[in-house]
Amino acid sequence: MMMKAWRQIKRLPFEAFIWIGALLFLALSDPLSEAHFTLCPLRNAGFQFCPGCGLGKSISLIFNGYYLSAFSTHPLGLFAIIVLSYRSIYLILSTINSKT
Amino acid sequence: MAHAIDYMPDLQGEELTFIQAVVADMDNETAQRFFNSYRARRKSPQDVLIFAIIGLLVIPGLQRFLLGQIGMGLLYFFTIGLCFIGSIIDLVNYQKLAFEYNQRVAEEVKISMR
Repeated sequence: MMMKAWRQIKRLPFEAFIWIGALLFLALSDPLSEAHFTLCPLRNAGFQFCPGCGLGKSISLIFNGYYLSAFSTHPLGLFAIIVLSYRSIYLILSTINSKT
Repeated sequence: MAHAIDYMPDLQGEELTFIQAVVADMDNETAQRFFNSYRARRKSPQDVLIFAIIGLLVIPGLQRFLLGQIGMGLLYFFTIGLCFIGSIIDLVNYQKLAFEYNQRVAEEVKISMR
């Protein structure tokens, strides 16, 4: 029975793992103490204004309850959580349903 | 029994296996009709790759919009492809994205032919 579940999990598209992994990581990390490591190449190159930046922090803030800070850090934090969750669920469901 | 490769020789990999299963029980005329519609509406993996490259370099999220994923497309667009990370993921993952889209196309064509 565990083998069957594991086989299903292996068939899931890797994109789903990435979104779920990222959301979990952000949910579990502490946005207040986390050292600000930037993944964004624009920020690292010195550009001050990058429209993508702060999204990770914003998502983490929402998961930890700081909704107002989240919105001011990046307004699309909640939108990102909703869209990525929906996409992940869609990927999981279509894998389960189609490859039976 | 219809052989997909007779009607659409450019099919390969997962898509070929999938489409072969879809058309296996079709007679020649039905298969021909299926492939006419499918070929017109499907997106080739190469197309998706090109969209993804443009999405990485020029218009973030373009590939998602063209695959009908408006929410994801908007998210990518306003966040420069999730700070490029999403764009890179899509570049690596383009075949899966194309296959997912084409599976839906095949189902729709099948349904519309009933």
